[in-house]
Amino acid sequence: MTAPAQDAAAPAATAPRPAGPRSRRAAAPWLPPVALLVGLVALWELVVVLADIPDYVLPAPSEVAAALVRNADVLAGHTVSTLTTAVVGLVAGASVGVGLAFAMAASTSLRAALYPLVVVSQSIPMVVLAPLFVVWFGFGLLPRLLVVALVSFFPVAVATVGALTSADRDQVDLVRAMGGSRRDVMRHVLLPGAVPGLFTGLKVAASYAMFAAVVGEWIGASSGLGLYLERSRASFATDQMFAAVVVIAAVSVLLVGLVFAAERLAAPWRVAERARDHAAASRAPW
Amino acid sequence: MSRPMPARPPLLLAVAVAGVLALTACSPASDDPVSDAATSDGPGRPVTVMLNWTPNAHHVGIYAALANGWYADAGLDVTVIEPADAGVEQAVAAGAADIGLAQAESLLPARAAGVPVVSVATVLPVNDSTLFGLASDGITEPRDLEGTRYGGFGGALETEIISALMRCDGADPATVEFVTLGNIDYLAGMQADQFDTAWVFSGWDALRAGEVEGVPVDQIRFADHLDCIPNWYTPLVLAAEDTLADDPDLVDAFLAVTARGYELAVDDPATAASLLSAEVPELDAALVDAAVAYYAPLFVTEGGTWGEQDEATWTAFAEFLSQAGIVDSDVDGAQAFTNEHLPQ
Repeated sequence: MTAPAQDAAAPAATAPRPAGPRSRRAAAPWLPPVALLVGLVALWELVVVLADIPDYVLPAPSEVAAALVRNADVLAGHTVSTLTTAVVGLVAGASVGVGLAFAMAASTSLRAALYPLVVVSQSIPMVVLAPLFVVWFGFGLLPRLLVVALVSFFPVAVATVGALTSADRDQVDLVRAMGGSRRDVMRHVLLPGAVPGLFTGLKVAASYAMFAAVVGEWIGASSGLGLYLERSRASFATDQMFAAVVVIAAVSVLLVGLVFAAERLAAPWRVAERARDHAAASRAPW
Repeated sequence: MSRPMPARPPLLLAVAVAGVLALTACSPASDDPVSDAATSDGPGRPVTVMLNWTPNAHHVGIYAALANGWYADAGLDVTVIEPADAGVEQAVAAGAADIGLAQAESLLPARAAGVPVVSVATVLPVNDSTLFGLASDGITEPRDLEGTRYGGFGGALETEIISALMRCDGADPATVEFVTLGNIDYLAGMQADQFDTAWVFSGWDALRAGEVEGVPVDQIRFADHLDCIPNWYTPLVLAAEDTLADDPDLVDAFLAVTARGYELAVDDPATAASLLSAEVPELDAALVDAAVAYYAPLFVTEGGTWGEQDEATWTAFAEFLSQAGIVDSDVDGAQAFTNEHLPQ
């Protein structure tokens, strides 16, 4: 075990050392959450069986799994619909968010005017807004896309604005000192600096894009997991409802994973940075 | 640490975004793969049908006709949509749907508010509503409702109907505690002793409790108390007044095919139920089979034809609503419906 005191005493010029002995680093990061999940599921099955709970109150995990398998083809079709709405809405919302972020970072008066409105936009309950969208835009894809976009643009805008406005002043001065124009500052300092913020916001938005798409579908769709949920609920098929929730959760995790993967491509230096921060944080302070 | 090349992040980001957009553009353009499979050659005139709720046994005629391609044969390209929210009357009047399913208790207030829609057919000639409760509570007559908790949406009609039923039976409606519920499973709620009775359709919730879940329940069926409360049409089929004026052939064609679908349900409920389950696989097949079998003899009265509405029923129900203050006294029940578009 490395002694933290030794690191602190080392000369500042050397890079920080990798955290811990090899055996600690080799443990897979996904093991603890999966192990906990398996334990909880086993407990749930036990409780349902022992307490003889009816399936329409709380279905057992085995019944949910059976429903998943039995309805796999139907679920797949609905998942494609919802995923399409979620991804297109996410991209649209993220684009608007990035645009707004640059606008707000460029002008302090614009930021002062827009930022509070951006925050207020999130406090309007979607169950109130979604039916209004349908009244204004009809029963097609547009109102559902708007729901997802409205939910997605906020974290992207906020995180990107934060990244842009905390751009390293020294780097900006350096570029200027080397004769760089405003465009050069944008290209060499601001844009690369905004990317981490953009991806942070995108991860947050991706984690509930599916849920937003489902809420949009409750207001009138002919396909999708939201529709599937409503139909299952109306015929008291609680196991099917849980199965749909499992699918929504799994796809949301996949979407966030996709954003992580995209970040590796667009901002590879962040991966190493995060590994370093994670290593430093995993050393307990006591 | 070396600086990344400045051109990479925006370029890669653009590529990633373009890739995602391309992927979603390649996904099927259709919104509903199931109904696409049901339509045959040639698109036909597009018709949007908005349901009053999620698909259930009440809609078996429509789905049986859809599955058999009968709408397509008649030159109609039918798309069924289901809003979780009410407001079918407004949506049809605004042209968001050509045909809607609704109920008399929402149609009359909508017409009173100036929404120009008219009922063109009724799915059931007699209201299948019921107040159901666990058999252990023994609520079989309106007087048994005294001192119980009624779980509902908190609407005025609920209060009026229950009060009328109890007064007819010599009981005091003021002893009933009204509990407001959302969209919950009534059976589960009653078993958890959250309330004692709820207003449901006998052929869906009550049937499911008794036959599918095997939990015995008692019912106060509205059809057994028509000496006290009026009959009314629920669900019914409606269209906008403009549609009836400008495009009556559409309504005629739609109702002709739909009547055929319901006649199939009357003659062969098992087949009709399996067609409904095929079109809407998310529903519990056991419940669908039981419910369609239950409704088969109820879709048409003795010696009558599907969809026929009776002026006396409309007038009496409008009167009841206006006396309860739910609609203005000048709403005319006779103007709210027409049988002209039903097949002869």
